[in-house]
Formats: sequence, structure tokens, C-alpha cells
Amino acid sequence: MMFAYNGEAHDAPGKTYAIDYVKMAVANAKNIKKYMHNNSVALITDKQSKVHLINNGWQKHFTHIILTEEQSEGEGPNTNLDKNIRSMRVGDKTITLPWKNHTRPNAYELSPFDQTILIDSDYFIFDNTLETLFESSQNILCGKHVKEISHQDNLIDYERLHHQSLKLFWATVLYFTKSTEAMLMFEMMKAVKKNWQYYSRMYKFEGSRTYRNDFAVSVALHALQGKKETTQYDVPFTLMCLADKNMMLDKKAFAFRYKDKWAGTGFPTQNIHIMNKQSAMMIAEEIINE
Amino acid sequence: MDKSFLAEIEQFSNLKTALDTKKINAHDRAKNKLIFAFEGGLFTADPSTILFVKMHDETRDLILIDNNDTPIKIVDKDNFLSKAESCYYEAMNEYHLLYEDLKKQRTVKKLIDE
Repeated sequence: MMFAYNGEAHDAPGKTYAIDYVKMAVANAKNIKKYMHNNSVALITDKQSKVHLINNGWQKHFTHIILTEEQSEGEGPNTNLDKNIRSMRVGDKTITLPWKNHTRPNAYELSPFDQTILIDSDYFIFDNTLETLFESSQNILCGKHVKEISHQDNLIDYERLHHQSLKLFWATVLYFTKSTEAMLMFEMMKAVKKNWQYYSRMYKFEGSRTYRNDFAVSVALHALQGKKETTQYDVPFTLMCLADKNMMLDKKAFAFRYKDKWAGTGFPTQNIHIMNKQSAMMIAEEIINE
Repeated sequence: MDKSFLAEIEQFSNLKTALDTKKINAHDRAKNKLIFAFEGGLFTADPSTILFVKMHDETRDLILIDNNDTPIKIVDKDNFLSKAESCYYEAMNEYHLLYEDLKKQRTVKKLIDE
């Protein structure tokens, strides 16, 4: 299951960039069909994005298309849709975009499946490793081990919400079953979203001006574990990711910042979370045109 | 110091970085491919697990701790071994082939193209 709400981003001079999450989800759905046996794909999107989907004839790639609109809930700038924005790189520019991620905690009710792997639409599937999760007896498994493919930085931001706080789970890959345990996790995520400022102060991530599902799921899983650190909810795989400052050249090669210059190398094809939006859209185009 | 020598070192260091990065990503891919599911548990098909199951005393129950610290009773030992070994050999053969191929790479361009 994937969420995709298209949006527009702006850079400092005011130039507009269309971020096509729907196209990324379509490419991913196509690859899921290609690489995985359990390949029913549900897309959660809004009316505007569904029109885009239909205009391009892409709806055939999904077994379910579920409409839901983004809604503000809670108090503070992070819970206001117009102010929940995030800065990131597109190519070599810094852009600011509305961060439409507020409906993710509703995934439990929205999922039409008994067993669901919820992935970010920019987590591109290139193999069948995730299939194993469907055979697990766990009710919840969430991304924990992450490596950036240029291996140039070793960031605490990839490991913890703050260096003195909880371990960070990555909602990029979240497996859940229809179970009380998973339902409680999503209810807790909703509570964190609604009381974002309270939890951000408690767990020292008030520096994040954006509502983040990674943080909400980390707090929720910490609570479910009895406020202890265990490995019971960890996805055992390492999630490979491309930082937004780096760029994919194609699905088998990428460029990265090395000694203040660009360097490049090949990439053994595997599942990858492409955080650079321009690269994600380029890879999506490549997959759709295959 | 000779400028051309420094340029040569720089060029070597760039190639070495590109090679090492590709090797690490190939190794990570291989490690991910070692994970398999059995009786609801998620296991890593490493040599020690495979060897332990092979050497296990048939008269005792075989309980293994999976990657999420869950104890799993392995009833069908042969099926477990078959799954573990096929994961292991597939992942390692692929990694070995790629690694051998990388040994021959002498330019960053080739690393990107191949």
C-alpha cells in the first residue's frame, strides 16, 4: 500500500516544481508486480491526484484506489496543512514543499488487506526481499536499519530522534496485520500527531518543524514496547537510501558529493529509498517507459 | 611536491572510493538476501546458523532465536536447512561474481556503466 498526494514545490527565486508522487507510486506498482508474488497494490490518494492517474491511464496498476483528503488536526504549525512544509534538494537546488503526510496514521482503517506492507512511494522496489515479511508471525515490523548508499556520512539522525532520545524507526517500510497490536500503534500515532508539540518536547525533536510519520511511529512503538528498546518490531533488512543531496544517474548508478565535488559509482540494483525528488521522478519515468 | 604525483594520488583515491562504495552496496544487498522466513520467524542464513542446525542432536528439540528475538521451534530441520542454504549460496554466489568483476574495474566510468 502506498500514499501519494501530488504537490508543488518552490525554490528561493520562486520557480515552481511539480512533485509527482502518483507517478512514483505507479512505477512502484509496476515493479511490485514484476518482482513480488504478493502483489496486490492499494493506492491512497486524493481526488485531484486520481484525475491525474486516470488521465494517464495508470489506474490499471492498482487493485484498490482509495480516496481520502488531507485534514488538519491538532494544534501548532506542524499540524496545520498550509504550514507543514519541508525543505529538501531537487537536483542541486533547495526547494520547499507542502508535506502531505497527515493521513498516514489512518492506514490501519484504510488498508483493504489483512496483511499490509506500507511503503513510501519513493521507496522503489527492485527485488523480492520484502516478501519475507508476509511470512512473519509478527503483527508489526518497521524499518530500523538504514544506510545511505554513498556511505559518506554517519548521521545520528538516521539512528535516533535526537542523540539523547528514542531510537528512530523509518515508516518508509511498515508491515502490519489487522490486529489489536497494530490498531493500537496507529491510534498512538494519531495521538502523537494531535499532540505534536507535547511529544516533540518530551522526546527532544522540537527542532523538527515538520510533522513526521517516522517520529510518530517511533514514539508509538516505544510505547508499545513498554518504553524499552527491543528489536521485536525491527524489519531485519537494511533499507538502502539515497540522501536528497545526492542524485541517481539511472537505476544502476548514482552521483554523490565527495570532497566538495561530484563523484559517481555503480549501484547493484536493489530496493532503494530515493529521497532526492528529481531522481525519484526520473527513475519512475524510466520504470514506466520500460 | 610533484603536482602530477598528487593528481595521480587524487585519481586513485577517487577510483578507490567509487569501488569501495559499490562493494559496500553489493555486500549490503547480499546481507539482505540472507534473510528468510521459517515458521513465522525471520532468520539470517549465516554459516554459524547453518552449521548449528546441521550438527544439532536429533534427540533434542531445536529452538532458534530469530532476528526479532523470538524463539522458534524448528520441527522440519531439513526444510529449514534447504531454505537457509539456498539463500546463502544464492546471495554469496551473486556477491562473489560482482566482487570479482569489480577487481577488474579501472575507471569510474566503467563502474557507472556496468
